[in-house]
Amino acid sequence: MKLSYNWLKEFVPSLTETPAQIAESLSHSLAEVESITPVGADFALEIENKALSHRGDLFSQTELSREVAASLSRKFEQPSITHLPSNPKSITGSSTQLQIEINTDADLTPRYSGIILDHIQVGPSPKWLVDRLLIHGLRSINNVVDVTNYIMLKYGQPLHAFDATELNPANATLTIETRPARTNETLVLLNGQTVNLTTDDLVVAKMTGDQPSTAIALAGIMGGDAAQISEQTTQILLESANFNMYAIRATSRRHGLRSEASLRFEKGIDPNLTLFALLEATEMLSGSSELNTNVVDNVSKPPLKETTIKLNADEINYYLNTTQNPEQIINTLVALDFNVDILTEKTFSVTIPSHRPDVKQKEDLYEEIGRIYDYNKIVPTLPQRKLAPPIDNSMWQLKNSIRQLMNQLGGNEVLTYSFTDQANAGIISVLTDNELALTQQFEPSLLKITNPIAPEFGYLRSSIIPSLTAVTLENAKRFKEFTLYEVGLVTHPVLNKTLPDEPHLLSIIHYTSQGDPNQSLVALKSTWLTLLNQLGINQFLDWQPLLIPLSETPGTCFGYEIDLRQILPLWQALQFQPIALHPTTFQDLSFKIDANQPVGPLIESILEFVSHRPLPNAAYLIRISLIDLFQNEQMQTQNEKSLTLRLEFQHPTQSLSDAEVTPIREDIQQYLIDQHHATIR
Amino acid sequence: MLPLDKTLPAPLKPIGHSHPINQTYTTVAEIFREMGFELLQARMVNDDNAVFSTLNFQKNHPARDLMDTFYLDSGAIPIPHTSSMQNWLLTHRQPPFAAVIAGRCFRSEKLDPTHEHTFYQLEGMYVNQNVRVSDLIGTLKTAATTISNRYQLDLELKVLTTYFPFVEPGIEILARKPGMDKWLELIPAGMIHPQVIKAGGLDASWNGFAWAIGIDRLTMLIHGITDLRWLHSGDLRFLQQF
Repeated sequence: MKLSYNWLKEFVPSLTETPAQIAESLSHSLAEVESITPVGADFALEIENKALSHRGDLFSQTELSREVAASLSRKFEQPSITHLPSNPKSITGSSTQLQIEINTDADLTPRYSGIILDHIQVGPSPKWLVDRLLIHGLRSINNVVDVTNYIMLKYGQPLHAFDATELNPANATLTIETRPARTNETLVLLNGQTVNLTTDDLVVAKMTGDQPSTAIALAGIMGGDAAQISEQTTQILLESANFNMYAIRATSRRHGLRSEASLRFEKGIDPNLTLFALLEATEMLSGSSELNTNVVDNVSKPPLKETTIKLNADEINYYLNTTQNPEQIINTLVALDFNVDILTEKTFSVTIPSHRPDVKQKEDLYEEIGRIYDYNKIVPTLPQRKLAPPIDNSMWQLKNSIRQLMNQLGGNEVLTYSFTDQANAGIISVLTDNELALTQQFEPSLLKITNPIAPEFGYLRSSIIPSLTAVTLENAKRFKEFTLYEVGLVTHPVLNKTLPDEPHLLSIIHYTSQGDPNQSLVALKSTWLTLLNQLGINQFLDWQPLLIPLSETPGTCFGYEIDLRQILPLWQALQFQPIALHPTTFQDLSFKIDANQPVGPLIESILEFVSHRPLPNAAYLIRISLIDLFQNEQMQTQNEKSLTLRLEFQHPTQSLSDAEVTPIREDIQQYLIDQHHATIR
Repeated sequence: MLPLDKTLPAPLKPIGHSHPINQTYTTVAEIFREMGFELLQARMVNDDNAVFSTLNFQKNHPARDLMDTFYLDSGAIPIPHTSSMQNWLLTHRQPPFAAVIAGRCFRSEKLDPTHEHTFYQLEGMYVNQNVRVSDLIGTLKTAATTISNRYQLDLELKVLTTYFPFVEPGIEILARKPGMDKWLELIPAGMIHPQVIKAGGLDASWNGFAWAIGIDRLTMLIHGITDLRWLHSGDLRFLQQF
């Protein structure tokens, strides 16, 4: 919304501030002034429309000027009406009778005011009017249309002028109605566009006898093509009406039509403005205030009862932490067009003007007082509190611990989008027999976004692995080896519920560009196990990671994904493990075995075997580790691989000698030969 | 063996990094915790009731246009603001209470250096009796100054009036680093609207204030990041800098 500096001076004659100073003051009291643009001898100060969405009344030079005056503590005045120079006295009221019927719900057309004027001479507008329109981005059309636009800019009340002769060639009576459009009714608009109307659209129509009335304008948005003002026009119908803001907004969206008029109606306009604006437009054109008697004013919705709010100066000063005396407070309210009746020394009753429907309760008035006072001048205070710490959020603490651990383990945290494409919609990672795999679990339609930003972002994700994979592939172009992780919420639809379940996922991906894939696998597993170990968790140790296929990128990629809600209850402080006083005894065992024999189950089977053997000291075998794993060319041809396992023995009260543990190793060797066709090396 | 050479160049060690957004979240949440605020996480997908109706957005009101909200076919909404948790707080916490809520938010905005469709907020709510506007300004200026000191930002602060349906009065804290020309909108805030208090089932003797810090903006300010799009790029060249 633009504010003309020169026009402002007409409302605030004592104004000495520069546009920049006004902008600064308005930014504090109302909204940010986005730009100050010189236009000829004037300046246009612009406020973003979005910033005024709660103040429909401010799409008006008058009310904006009032705001400036209040913010600068200067006197606001209504300027006198400027008459158009060219032979004004020739314009008269009309002998044609004007009748206005409102044939909609009162809520849809609360008020319609109109007048017919004769002896119009259509011509160019004076320069001052052209300039004033220009500064608001409106071009001059002709004196009649320009006056309607001028009044709209001045008061925020859109007017429309029709060629009354075109509407009503011969009759003594012109009857206008507002009504809902008929099904399949069409209207050609001023801009040449033909609009196919629905019964939810409002039209202004002319009535001719008993025939169905003809639409002449799309109410509140744009006039029709048929009765537009031309150089030949000598008789006009001036419309100044009020239409329902929601209906206008809906029609505007429905047909993709926007105008200066619709912009204002959508925000909500005070119905009391129609008559006032119409009278001023009439006087501007005709030079006479005596044509008022020709106005027809149909008020279908009685004006709302005025709101009054009682205020107490002490309460205001407490709320804002200010020390304003009642007079200062009252002056601020009066400057903003509120009516104040003093009740006692500290209390007063405030009547809210009809153009401020946004003011409903005392907090709204506190804001009016506060913003003009300037929040930067308010002395800040701090609420008192109890000394107890706030409630802990254990999930947040878990996540932060995981971040720290992952960072120590060389993991880099990423954040990827919650949006995904159709191919990945409904996919989650599922554990079957301790192995993770991606599966389509949910119907994509349950996750579909109605208005996505792009087709490839048409769904909400249910797993983080796909997007984490995508950024892995990007990083693989530049880095040979890395671990990425992400912690985030995903969306799992729940049958018969609007709100989905939101698992807290931790997803980890490890990438290596070259080398033995087994090494890459072990690297990720080590990270996973170390993480669990540091969280004091003894579960999920058997989980095998996801193998992530890389189509064109070289190397291998593995991943894990887990819902932290499973982890949280298991997270515990690390417990001290008594440290053995005596050293561990090692015995290594090297052997060749079938290349396809998985190592994990082999080690488990050895431990299982040893646990059933009645050999002395067998109970002190505490751990079997993999020390070495390799395959040379010869072994490859035989489909064999070589393993070296380290057997660790720990007795609680003494050192075990080699002689005491060798029988166990030999026993294991025999087991391997017998049960697994191993060749001892 | 080569002779000892103390001048040998040494590379940086490859350590892991948490995301700068989460680093900011941790620090800011910690500051608020020190001031007495409990920390919660927002639901990512919520319903119209939480996102709009209980926040004084009337049906069909143009204020709903202020945010370009995404909708699921199911009718549920990927949240456009963490204020979507205000009603939950009002109905699940006995006043007086103080809480901050972290959440990923979504708005239909085309990507460019300063606009994103996916962003991060830290909502805050304080509810008690006879809460004052000066308490709101004091709490937020204190928090902003603490953040400024912790990161040595030397921020200048100012308070402007603004509008959101769920606060009345509505304000915004703006910040500026020395040498910066433009002011940055840092913390939109306000006194909780009486209708929001009512929708939360509390009687009118309770009031309070609320705010939402834009964590991305703050992160960019702290680290001098010039393009928002790096935050979701997953690019190690970016992430390893923090």
